[in-house]
Amino acid sequence: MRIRFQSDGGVGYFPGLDGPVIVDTAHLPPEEGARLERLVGAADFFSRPEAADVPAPGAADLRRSTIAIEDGGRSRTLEVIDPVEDSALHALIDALREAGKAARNH
Amino acid sequence: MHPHQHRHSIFCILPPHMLEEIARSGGPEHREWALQTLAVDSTMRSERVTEQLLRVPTASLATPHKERFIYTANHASTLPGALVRSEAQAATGDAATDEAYDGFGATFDLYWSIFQRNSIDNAGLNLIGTVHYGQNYDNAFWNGSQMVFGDGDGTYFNRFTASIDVIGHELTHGVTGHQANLVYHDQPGALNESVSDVFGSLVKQYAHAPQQTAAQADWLIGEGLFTTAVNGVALRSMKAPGTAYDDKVLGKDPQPAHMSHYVTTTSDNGGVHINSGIPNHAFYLLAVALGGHAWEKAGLIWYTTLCDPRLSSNAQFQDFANLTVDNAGRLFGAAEQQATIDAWQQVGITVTATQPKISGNWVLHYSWGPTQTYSQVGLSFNSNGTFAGGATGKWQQQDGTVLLSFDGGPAKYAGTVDGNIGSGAMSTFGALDGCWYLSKQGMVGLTLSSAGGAPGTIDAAGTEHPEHPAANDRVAELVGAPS
Repeated sequence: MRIRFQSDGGVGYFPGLDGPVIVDTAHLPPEEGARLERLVGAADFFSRPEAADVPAPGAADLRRSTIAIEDGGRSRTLEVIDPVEDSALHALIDALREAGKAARNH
Repeated sequence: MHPHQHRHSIFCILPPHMLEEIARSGGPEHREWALQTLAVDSTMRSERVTEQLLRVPTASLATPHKERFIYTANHASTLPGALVRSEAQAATGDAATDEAYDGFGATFDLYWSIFQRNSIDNAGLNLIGTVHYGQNYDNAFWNGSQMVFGDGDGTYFNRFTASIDVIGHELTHGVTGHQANLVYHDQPGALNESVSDVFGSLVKQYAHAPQQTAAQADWLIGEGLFTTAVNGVALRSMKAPGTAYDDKVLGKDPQPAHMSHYVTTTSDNGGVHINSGIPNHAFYLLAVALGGHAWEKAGLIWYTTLCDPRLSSNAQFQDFANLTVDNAGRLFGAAEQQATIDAWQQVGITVTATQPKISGNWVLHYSWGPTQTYSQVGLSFNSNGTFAGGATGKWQQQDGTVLLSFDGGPAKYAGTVDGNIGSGAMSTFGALDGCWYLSKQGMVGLTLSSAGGAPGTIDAAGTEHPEHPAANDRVAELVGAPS
């Protein structure tokens, strides 16, 4: 499973967290890869309609997350804006964001 | 005999009884002039004039309405969540809840006490916040009607309620939304962000015990949000944009302090959190230059500009800067206006000042010939070049030079006006020259120099102004011909 994750916005802009996080679960430690794939499954990612959220009027400092996943023959891109009320999707975003930070912390 | 209430003895070349004779038997023009000279208005009016022209809309409600509701999302991401603390309820012991509550209160208090703004919408809008949003959520945001706070990831970020200026920052997005509604991208978006940083920082300085002056403040936004694992002190620095952090994971603070380093990018809505460093730094420079508490002058200039109907939602930095300079002159005077120009110049934005035209209610103090004392008359200046009140006439102004002519007579008053004070010399029939001062209605502490003092010399709060050129010269300049 290949995941491309991009986060934009937030109360602070951090150049280190701006770039895309690119993950191939096959190249992660097995436990890590499995965890991510579980989160993608729990979020029912491939059943969601491809969509791009629009921010509410007057909203500020919210985060926009773009997730593009390719797995086997299927692929899907979602663009979601805070608040991401779906807890499973929220958990997936958190995990991808943490993966990005960890990747920079070598 | 012309009735009088407060007779000031006028030591002039024409003694009062001769003025009365002129009033009785002179031609209409002379009569009017003599009556005007003899007439005194009542003493300087003590009624307060609220400067509605300059001030923002006053509160719609007579009393401030502070109503706070703090919810918890319980680590889920549904809003608003469960109510955990309402207005006037005691502290809960949960740090995030109580910090949000206190930060809302401090923000409300700043806006009410200093700017007479009754909550975010100036109509007592309830202040709503949700804490414990998400899991390891390292952000806080304004969703258009409420605040949302994450707890941080614990690795790089602490909980986001820990920084009172972030709370003020977010609520100020609501204020901006109700005022200029600066669009959230590129320069207007950076202005939007900067305004939030400015007032967030003012909340922090105002709520600090003791309150901080501009010189004492650290001008950091989001101090305390980083864990010790991060090489950085805050999200941003208004004092030194670009220096807040330099970290392996987060990167280096990308904020510019000058227009020459403006960042053109598609990230971050066109860099709204990046380029906000430029107007942030201008505010910091102005606040420190003016001294005292930053909210007193710089804050009021900025707030007035945010509420100024001339500030469009698509305003560029230049537009905003122009208005701050104009408002600085209208609110305070030439010194503050120049300081504002200088602050913007230092961040690479040039503003050319236009002396604000005289307007509103003033008191004219006039003294004929070598008199010892001054008479007063209240004048109200209209934007169409006329004035009314205790006397009627016309005014002209070019930069700081002003000329008054009176309907009732040939007198010409010429001089300069600067902020709340004007002064100059007058010419009438030639023999009855004198000097005058204008003071903004409600101004106190003005000392008028007595006879023997050169016309145009003024002591007001210890400030002295230079003598003005001869009245006739000034009149010729303004009207283009000898009067």
